[in-house]
Amino acid sequence: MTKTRIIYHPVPFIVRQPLTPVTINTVLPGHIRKVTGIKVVHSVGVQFMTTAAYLPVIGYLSLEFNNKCYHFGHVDVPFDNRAEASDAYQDAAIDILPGSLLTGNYENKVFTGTEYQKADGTLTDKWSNYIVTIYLKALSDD
Amino acid sequence: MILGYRFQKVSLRISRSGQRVYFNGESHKDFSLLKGIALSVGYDSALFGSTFGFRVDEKKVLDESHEAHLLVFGSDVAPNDRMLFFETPIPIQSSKLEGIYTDSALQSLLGNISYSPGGGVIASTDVNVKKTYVSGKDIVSYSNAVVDNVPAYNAPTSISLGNGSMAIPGTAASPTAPAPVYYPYDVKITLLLSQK
Repeated sequence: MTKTRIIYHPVPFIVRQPLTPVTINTVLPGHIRKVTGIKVVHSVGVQFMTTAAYLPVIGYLSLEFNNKCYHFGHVDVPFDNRAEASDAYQDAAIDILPGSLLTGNYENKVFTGTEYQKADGTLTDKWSNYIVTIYLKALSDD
Repeated sequence: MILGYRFQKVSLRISRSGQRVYFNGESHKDFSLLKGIALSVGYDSALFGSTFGFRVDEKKVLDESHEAHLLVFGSDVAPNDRMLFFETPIPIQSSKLEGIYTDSALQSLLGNISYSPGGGVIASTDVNVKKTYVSGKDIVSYSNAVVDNVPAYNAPTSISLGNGSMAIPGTAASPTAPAPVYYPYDVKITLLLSQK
């Protein structure tokens, strides 16, 4: 094995409340040296709330690397249950400080309006927790 | 076999909901680089929430929580569209290859409120019931696999393996019943090896 090699590091997070933003705050493994690609995908859960195979946006994700020193930007997270769904990584070139934080926020867009809370105050019974995963294509010196 | 290349294959059979199947083996001695990996699964509905971890020489390439559906090709998707090509090929020399396929690994987390009650990052140790690879087992043939009997969160206690057998995953977190998943189904792992 060479000293530096490629790995794929998933960071899954769960969305439990439609109206509450999810805070992402996790330490990346110390052996990750550089992130060369990022992909954010819906994992499981949304399929229990819809019969559609594709929703362009189920939420917005903001990501920061290196203890909030590098703001990667905002990412639209789609729900794509189709066989031909894209699995491409968004290119990146982010040098990672060893043991630094990956932080961010996720804002859910499923059942956030009147469809969640009706005029009479009752809440929808269609809500399901769901999981979104951030995939980091990275160079590791592990 | 294409000159200079070889597609080395592993076949696994998933017999019930939540099952974890471990395999290990050795890369072909005549090939020095691992350039890509892909899965094919006979039953597409079983994919979402299932995970596949992969190691080479006991070094992690894919975490155990890597979703299987990101690696799968089938009747609607050509292998080239789904195979994960490594931009930096992984050097191999009769290397030890290991993998763990876990059926419905992520579904079990949806209704579990013992962690991140307000939502948030799921610790890697929560994604799978058991994170350790089975090391030291003398199973070097790809035709063999070790079945790790980890109980699923909602797995039925018994599933018949004949034709037409069926299991319906639980719906602890879902307001509607999901599509049924039929067992057993097969998972084939394809490794693209190259001589240079």
